[in-house]
Amino acid sequence: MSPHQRFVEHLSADALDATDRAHAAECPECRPLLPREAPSTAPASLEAIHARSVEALRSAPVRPWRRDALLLAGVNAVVAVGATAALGEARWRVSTDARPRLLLVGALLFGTLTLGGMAALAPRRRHSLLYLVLALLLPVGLVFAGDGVMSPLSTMQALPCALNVVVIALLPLGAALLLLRRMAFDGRRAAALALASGATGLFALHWHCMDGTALHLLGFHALPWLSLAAVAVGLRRLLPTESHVP
Amino acid sequence: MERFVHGEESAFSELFARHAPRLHGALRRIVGPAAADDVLQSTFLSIVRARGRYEPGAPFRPWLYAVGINAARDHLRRHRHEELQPPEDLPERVAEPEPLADPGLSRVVERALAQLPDSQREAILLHRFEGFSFREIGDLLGVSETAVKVRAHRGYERLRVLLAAHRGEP
Repeated sequence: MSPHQRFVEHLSADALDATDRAHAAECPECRPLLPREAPSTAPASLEAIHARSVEALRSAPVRPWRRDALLLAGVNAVVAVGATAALGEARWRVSTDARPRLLLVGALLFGTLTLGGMAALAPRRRHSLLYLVLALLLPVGLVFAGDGVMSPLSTMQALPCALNVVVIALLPLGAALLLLRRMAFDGRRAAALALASGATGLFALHWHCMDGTALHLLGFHALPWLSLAAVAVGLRRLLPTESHVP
Repeated sequence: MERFVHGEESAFSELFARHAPRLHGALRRIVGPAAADDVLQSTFLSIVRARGRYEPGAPFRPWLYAVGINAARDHLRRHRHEELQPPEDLPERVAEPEPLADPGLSRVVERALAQLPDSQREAILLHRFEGFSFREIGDLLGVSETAVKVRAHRGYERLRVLLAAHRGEP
């Protein structure tokens, strides 16, 4: 290993020793790379930037992120319950044997749609990662809750299920995108919030849809839900950012 | 920071006076002198408007730099195509630049830095000029410490090659 390579290796590992420093002192290529604090610069424009920021401070009240997360959870819950009431709970009424499974997966869906805001908006990013991992297991739960009995509806008639997932999620997704604009773009957070919004439609269909086959549940419930989340992440990337806070 | 979150102006002014000049210097190296003011403004407006996202007890400086880096990336993404000049507009010979405020910061190094990919440049700037540890840089960029070390290592290696090539020029 040449002295140059050794210097770069140690520099990149925060492990510069006396030999490296001695080499850098002699070597015109490595000397400029030695860590050195740049002194502060104070351009006149800082005054104006400070004045505008203070003005914004006076006019912008503090918005705790937990309040936004609760607001989003409330919107999602109202939309999910409202859509369930509107579509009707035919599956719940008919599938008396499968009710414990339906209740269990229903509770998971409700957790997904209400906790997503908390996970995505929390300052620590690892919450959104944990949420994403758990949420992506949800299709397994959907299949688990299904009774495997095919509805008399044909594939074409099952398309309304996919459409319902999208239409029911529009309002929560709009609210989620508004909140996402208030922070720097982060694909993981955006995906978590979009999955939570999309889960409103999944929740309503969970109690309503009579087709319990895995193919239908994955193809017309889970797939539109995941696709919607992917589109929402792309949409958020295109939208301008109001605040660059992570 | 807690007082600033609750809207106390004097606390904000104190934070601004302590951190703005150095952050301005860092942003100048990322987005260039012409855009540094705008990006700094955007950074401070962001922390004022979204101060409710600050995690109590967390160190302020890495958080502020994370916001600054995000603002700089957003600026570069939106303006990159505008900043690329057609070849015919480029001067044949670059005039000798004015001396920098920092005499230790070689113009040659700055030019070499500008040729690095954004991710490598950010890692080196935060490490070399701002004194952040690799772990802090990882936290504020949202990547692992190892990833930052890899970026910094590649960046330093490339920088050394660029500086060596510059020395070899007539």
